[in-house]
Amino acid sequence: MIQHVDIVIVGSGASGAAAAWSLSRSGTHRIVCLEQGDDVDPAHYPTTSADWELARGGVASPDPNQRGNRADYPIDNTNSSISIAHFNGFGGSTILYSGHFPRFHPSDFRTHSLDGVGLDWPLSYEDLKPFFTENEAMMGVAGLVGDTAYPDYEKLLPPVPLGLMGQKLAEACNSLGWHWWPSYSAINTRSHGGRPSCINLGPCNTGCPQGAKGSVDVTYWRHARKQGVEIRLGCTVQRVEVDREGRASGVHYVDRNGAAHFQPASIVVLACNGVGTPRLLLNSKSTAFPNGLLNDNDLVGRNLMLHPLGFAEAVFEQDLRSSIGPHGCCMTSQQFYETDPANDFVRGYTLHVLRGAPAAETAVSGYMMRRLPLGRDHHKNFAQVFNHTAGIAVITEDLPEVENRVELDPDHTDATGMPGIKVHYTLGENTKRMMKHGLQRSRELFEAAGGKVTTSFGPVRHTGWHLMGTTRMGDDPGTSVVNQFGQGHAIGNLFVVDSSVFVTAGAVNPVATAQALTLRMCDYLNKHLPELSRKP
Amino acid sequence: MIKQFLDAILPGDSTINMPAGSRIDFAAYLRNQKGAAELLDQFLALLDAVATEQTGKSFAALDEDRRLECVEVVKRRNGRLSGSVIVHALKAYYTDAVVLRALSSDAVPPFPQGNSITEDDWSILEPVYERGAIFRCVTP
Repeated sequence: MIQHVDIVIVGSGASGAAAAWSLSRSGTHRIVCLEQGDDVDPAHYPTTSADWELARGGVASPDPNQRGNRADYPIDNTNSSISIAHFNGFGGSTILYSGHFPRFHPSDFRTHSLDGVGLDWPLSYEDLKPFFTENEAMMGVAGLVGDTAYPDYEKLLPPVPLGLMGQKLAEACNSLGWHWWPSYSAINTRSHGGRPSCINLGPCNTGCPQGAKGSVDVTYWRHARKQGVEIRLGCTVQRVEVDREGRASGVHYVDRNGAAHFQPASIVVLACNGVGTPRLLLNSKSTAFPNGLLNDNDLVGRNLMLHPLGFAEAVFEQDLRSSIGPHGCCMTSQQFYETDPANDFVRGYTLHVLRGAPAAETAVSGYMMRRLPLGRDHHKNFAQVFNHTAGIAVITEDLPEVENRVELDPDHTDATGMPGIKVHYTLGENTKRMMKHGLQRSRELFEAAGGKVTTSFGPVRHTGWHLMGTTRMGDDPGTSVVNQFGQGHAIGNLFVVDSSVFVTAGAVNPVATAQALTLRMCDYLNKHLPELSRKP
Repeated sequence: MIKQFLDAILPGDSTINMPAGSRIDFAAYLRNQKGAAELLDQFLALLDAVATEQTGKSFAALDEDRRLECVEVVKRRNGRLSGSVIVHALKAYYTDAVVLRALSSDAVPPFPQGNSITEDDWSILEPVYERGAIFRCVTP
């Protein structure tokens, strides 16, 4: 017999972990977190082995269809130019993220007022500011205060090193008169939070055996577990149950042995990411809710935003040791972040500098693009490319569009029989123009740095990491799914606390903002738990 | 024949201490790559057939230049098959500890030794500071 709990959290990733920590601080609530994936042992992360690059096509692949773990559900990307990337396991996608950790900007919360596109958020940067700061302390964020592209950062760990490659591009930005700044990175550049300092293993996105990267298994969860939160792994939640009074009464889940259970709870908190959360809500159908929960206005799953990403690469004559250092964290330029009337688009993008490709990737891409020959000249040519390259990702702000959505795919089910999802996503005209502009600026930057551009294209297909907008927040129940505290408009004790609630996408990695929102939502939940738990 | 194929596409280069392709444990690599061994068998059979057709000799009996020419012919005849096998060979070669150690002074594997990066001089940010704030002010 499974006992009733005060709060059940579904999902142990970035937001689920922050929620578990925040909600357990008082030590008075019984909290269970259900995670469909398993624990991953850092001692076996790929970079403990010389052939770590091979894991990117297997256990450390960000593509659930390629990884094919028991916890992964089928995702049909046929109708999308960008395929979904995430990780189902304890710690969620933070296990495989690069740790790039900037905040949204003040203007990101007011796109309609400022630029006449999207919608304004029901809260402001100022409302989130204390939670940004709290979250950065918990996750361990490196960077440099004083960034001219942001109003204020108060305290950060020292920035990750630029390396020769970063210095070259920084100097090029200076020569062009452009903004640049060292990356905000959830990477310990000195000991912090009981975790050691980064030792520049390189591919943070295959897992960090050093424990320097702020993945939530080693940040929030260490504290949340000590505070008494119970985590059950290998448990796939299939449905949220709603009682006759229209309140969430708990969740139905299937454990790793295939046994079905019901977990009763006073409060249900969903943190399954921007595709997993709408999947669960849409699958929670009943006679009373034939279209799923919180979906009276057909908004669940819609307004999917993914940050379409362009990519440019250049090769330099000098050996820049560019493959060394945290791959996804070096420096960014936000020269083109804010709306500029001179452009043929509104809103903007981040130019995110990526370190050079590792050896096997350099060899394979060089061969496929006919830049690296086979035979006698191979090594000489390889030596002129490996550690000589730099990349720039153009992270564009896509706007919410109702036709961009996820829906259930009953024809393809996961290991428990629950439907997978179909993704429908098309780049808007504004985003296309923004992408073109960003790729052109990337080429200019490389040329100013003395690099020869070898690749420049977008959108890059396998980059759908940033999953936003599918259960958006707002004050109006007619145009939003949850309120500013993640509370379902239609079901007051059902909360969504992940990036599904984003109203617009900004043009930076969303994790810092998602977790700050989670902390704010849980602050509200903590204050109102007695009345929220009470049956009418 | 596997070793001759690997040496044809990735010959050793003593001037920069790069080992020949045959020095890696390709068999171990193949065991962990689903379907790769079957592709390799098909490819090698085609390669040998091309060698016999073009030169009247088996692939193994040719010198390295002629072997590479045969590989090029097979690439033209079956690009998908040869592309898959060559990519496997490149991945196997460039994830082998011996090759990676020859390639650079970086830690192999990366953990636990890690790598060092030179310290930065942040005065390089002076021009950015001088231009001042670029974010939009928003009234709460």
